[in-house]
Amino acid sequence: MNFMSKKSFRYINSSAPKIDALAKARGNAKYTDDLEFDRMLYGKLLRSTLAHGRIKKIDVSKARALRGVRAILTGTDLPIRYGILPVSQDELALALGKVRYIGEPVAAVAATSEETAFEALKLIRVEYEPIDPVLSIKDALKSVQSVHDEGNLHKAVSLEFGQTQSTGADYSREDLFYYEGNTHLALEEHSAVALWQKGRLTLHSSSQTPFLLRKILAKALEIPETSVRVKVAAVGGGFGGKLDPFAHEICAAKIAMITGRPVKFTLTREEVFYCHRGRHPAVMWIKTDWKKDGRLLDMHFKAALDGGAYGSFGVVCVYYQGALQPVTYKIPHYRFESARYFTNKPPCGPKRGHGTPQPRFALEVHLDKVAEELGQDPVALRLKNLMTPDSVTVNQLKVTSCGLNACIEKVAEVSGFRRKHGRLPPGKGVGFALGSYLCGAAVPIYWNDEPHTTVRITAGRKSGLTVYCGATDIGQGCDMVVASVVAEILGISIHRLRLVMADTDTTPPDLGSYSSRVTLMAGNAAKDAAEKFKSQVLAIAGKKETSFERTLQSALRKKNRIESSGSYKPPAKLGRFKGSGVGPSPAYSFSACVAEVTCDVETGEVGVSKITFAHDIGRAINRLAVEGQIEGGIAMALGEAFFEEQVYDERGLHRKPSILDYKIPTMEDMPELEIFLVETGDPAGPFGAKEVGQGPLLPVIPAIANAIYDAVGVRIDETPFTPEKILLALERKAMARAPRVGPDKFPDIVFPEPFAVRPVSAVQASC
Amino acid sequence: MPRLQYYRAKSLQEAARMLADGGCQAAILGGGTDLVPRMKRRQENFKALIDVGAIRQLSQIRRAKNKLYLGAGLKLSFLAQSSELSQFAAFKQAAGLVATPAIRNQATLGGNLCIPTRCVYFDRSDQWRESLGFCLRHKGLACRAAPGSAVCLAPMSSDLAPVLVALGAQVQLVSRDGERAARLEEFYKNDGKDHLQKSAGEILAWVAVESGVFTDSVYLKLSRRHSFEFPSLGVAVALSRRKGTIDAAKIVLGSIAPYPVVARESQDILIGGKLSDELIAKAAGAAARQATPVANADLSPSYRRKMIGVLLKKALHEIRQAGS
Repeated sequence: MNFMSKKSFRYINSSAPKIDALAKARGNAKYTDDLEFDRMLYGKLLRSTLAHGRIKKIDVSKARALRGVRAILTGTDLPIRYGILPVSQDELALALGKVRYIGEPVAAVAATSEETAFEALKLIRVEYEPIDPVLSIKDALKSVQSVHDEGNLHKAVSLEFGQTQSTGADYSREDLFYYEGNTHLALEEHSAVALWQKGRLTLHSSSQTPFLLRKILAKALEIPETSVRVKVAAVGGGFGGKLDPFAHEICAAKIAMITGRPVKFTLTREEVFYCHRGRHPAVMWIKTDWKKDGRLLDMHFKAALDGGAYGSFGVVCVYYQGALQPVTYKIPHYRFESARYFTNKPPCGPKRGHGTPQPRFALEVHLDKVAEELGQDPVALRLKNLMTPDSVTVNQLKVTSCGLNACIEKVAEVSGFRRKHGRLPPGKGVGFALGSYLCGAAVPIYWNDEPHTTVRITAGRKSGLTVYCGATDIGQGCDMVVASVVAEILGISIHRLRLVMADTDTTPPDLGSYSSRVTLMAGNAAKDAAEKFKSQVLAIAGKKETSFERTLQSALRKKNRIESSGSYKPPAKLGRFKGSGVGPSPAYSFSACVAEVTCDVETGEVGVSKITFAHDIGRAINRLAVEGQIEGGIAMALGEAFFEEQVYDERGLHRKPSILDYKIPTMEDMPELEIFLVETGDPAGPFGAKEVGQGPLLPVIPAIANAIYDAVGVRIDETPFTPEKILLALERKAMARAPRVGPDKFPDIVFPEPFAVRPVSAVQASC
Repeated sequence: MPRLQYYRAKSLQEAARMLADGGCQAAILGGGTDLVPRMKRRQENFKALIDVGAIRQLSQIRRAKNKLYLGAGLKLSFLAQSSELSQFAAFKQAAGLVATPAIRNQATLGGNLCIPTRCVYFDRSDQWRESLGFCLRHKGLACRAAPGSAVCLAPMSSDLAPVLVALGAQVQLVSRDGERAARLEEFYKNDGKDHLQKSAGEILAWVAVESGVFTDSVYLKLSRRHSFEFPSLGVAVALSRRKGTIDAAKIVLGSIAPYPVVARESQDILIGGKLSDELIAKAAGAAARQATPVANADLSPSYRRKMIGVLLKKALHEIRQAGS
């Protein structure tokens, strides 16, 4: 199965600490807010205190008169609409005419001190004319009010794949689930510093997508893209929350252009909750048909997403609700309907797992229920319908390597799942679930034919060896990935390399840190660049010395400067239907999880005692970093499972926009973890590597839900699994009612007629 | 952070004098773990902070007769580990359950006892509270959690207060004009906006606990996580048992009202009895009747109320098990 023998590696597949680890541990790393410039102004945003309303008047005169205030912007100063997706150009840096959520920026102030900027905000008077807010999908369907002129339905899709099975089903089941909205909670709050020098803008920002940000800044500010430089300092976590362009970035740039002075905006924690772009709250319905031996015949999945006030990545998220179910299981006939609605709340967007944790939760809990009713072991049921390597899914995704089988066997064996399931003492239980994720979207956000990423390597007599790469390290470790790959190919120490990363002026373009694309794509580009560099060096030197270092020195004596460039472009997608751009990837990662829990039936508290986890990483470029990503994914999953709620009151006001009240697990809440890496060596990945940034979150949440059922016999069909919900379900059980907490109705959505996708031809599928 | 003046007092008398001179514009700075973030959020508007960290006597333990005098400047991490406090098990437990290890290394005994009440409608930014409409604690007219209430019902957020009330602690308050002692139980009042029976010029200097009064004590804290939490409910129990029979009982509930609530009915049920399942159930059942939490903290009021009995039952079982 191994694509390349492990023993041949020197730098990759090791557990060396990340190259930036020491600086970060010592507090030496410079984040955006650490940047200081002479004569720098401090910016603050005034945010709407109303969820839905017309702006009648904004009076900034008093604020303008305050000593130290240098600039004030309102919506009229930045009238160009923008958005991360070409199809959703619906945002403005500052509200114009109307506000659509509490926390939406209405005005921006810059002053000589942060305190003055803060004071100035208090002096701005905004008069609103309130409009009834649209705060739920129910409101969105019924309300006479529209969040946007075009109505409250943002996007609805209905797709059908495969052939209805001729042999009838023996059994079918349907279930309803709800997944609560939640946010990223990266430790570093968003921050941006803008400089305007000689007609060029430089924006330092804690962004996951400097190259996309450059494009959007140019549009919103009406300046050429060549006049914009975006640089990314150290980033304290992104998780999808720093993908979209944000008001503070555009306002910082605009004020720098007006005043000629550097301008810094650093958001407060509360403001980050309003920026949001996190997990969509989703109501889901799933129905499956089965043969009694456990063969899956048919799946029908529906999702309704509460999108918040703007588009963001919403359209993509609508498709992701249905895209990856067929990647883990073979589904002969698959129908999927999904819709997103606008509501007067901070916009939802991409968060770790981007639109797939919700359906994964629904699917894996549903399968647990099916297994029980069919009298089958939950592992066995999945094995019967499991994805196999080198397959094309029913929704026309090409699966290359697939280590699901090995992942399942590992976690089932180590955790003792088969021995424990259904047999532990009351209050204790085990749960099982699978997951899968893409290793980079095969289709770029803005369609073009260019490579998705390029890496450049240069060497000079006195300038050392430098690697230029546009990929953005947001803490996930892509600097280490790129450096490890180059070091491996060249056969020199990682510490010999100088890295220049994520700077639109000096590094070649990279699409950004999203869709788990960086290891595979930047890794491949780095490999390509390093291989070209190596052969050039050899060719110039004329002969191989005892080490590459010596060969390079001898080559540099003959030629002043040696340079190479490598790039990566994913293979073309198979599907040709509308929506086929969401889901295709050069490869897919797979994971299996067993959760072991203890429930206290008096308090309703659930303690996770152990998580056994196996992840098909293809090849670990760095084992320590991969394990760290898995641990982080599990921690985030525990937060979504037990605590996290991005919820609002009847005015649309966020109930707990604070890092203390919006709970995520602490180190004390972490269970024992046993993690296994399955290395399948994918042909598409650099040295066979696949993703690990997002996938590991997915199976943890349903595994916990299934474990709770095994422990106390109640189904919590909605996140988070709070003690109150568990007590409620236990009460229902005691009263012989359905032992369940979850939604009881899918919203009354009329989906479009399903579009029946024609199967791909055998020729297409094999290419 | 708004501009402020910082003073470092060399003695308690100097601190008291500075505090008196500063009026309501000045505050005592202990560990600062709660005060400084509150100032940053502009919930407090102090213009001057008087650091009492250099006053040696405030970080000492004195023993006099059968009493221990604990300096208000003692750090919580020290209290959680101190062998001198081993007879006050619940106190050590509670100190070790406050916030996080880093905060416990900095936060002080006095600071935890004087920590302001917390409310999900008050501990927010100005912009948030403006969106909601201000509450009666600040600028507004009505309590957001209980609109009918004439007073602020924000619950106390101290882990140590219920335990020390259960242990019968006294506090020693120092001001420019002198010194006075008060029972900790009487140090708090039912007003979330101003829940301390303390004038602005008084400094909480010592806490006195008497040895040998109780044989067993337990503190249980309800919160969603295992760390980094204010209590959503705290249940402190102190018992004195002679040959299994309870001759003194103190049960105190924290974080369901602005002050530590003494569960007298449950105490009375326990006194004279032995810790049987029936007695424990009866005492636990009575405890929930002692308090009516409102929707101003994490976890719903009905759940918090239900947990009073559950936690008390667990606490009493723990004592029984430890004693057997």
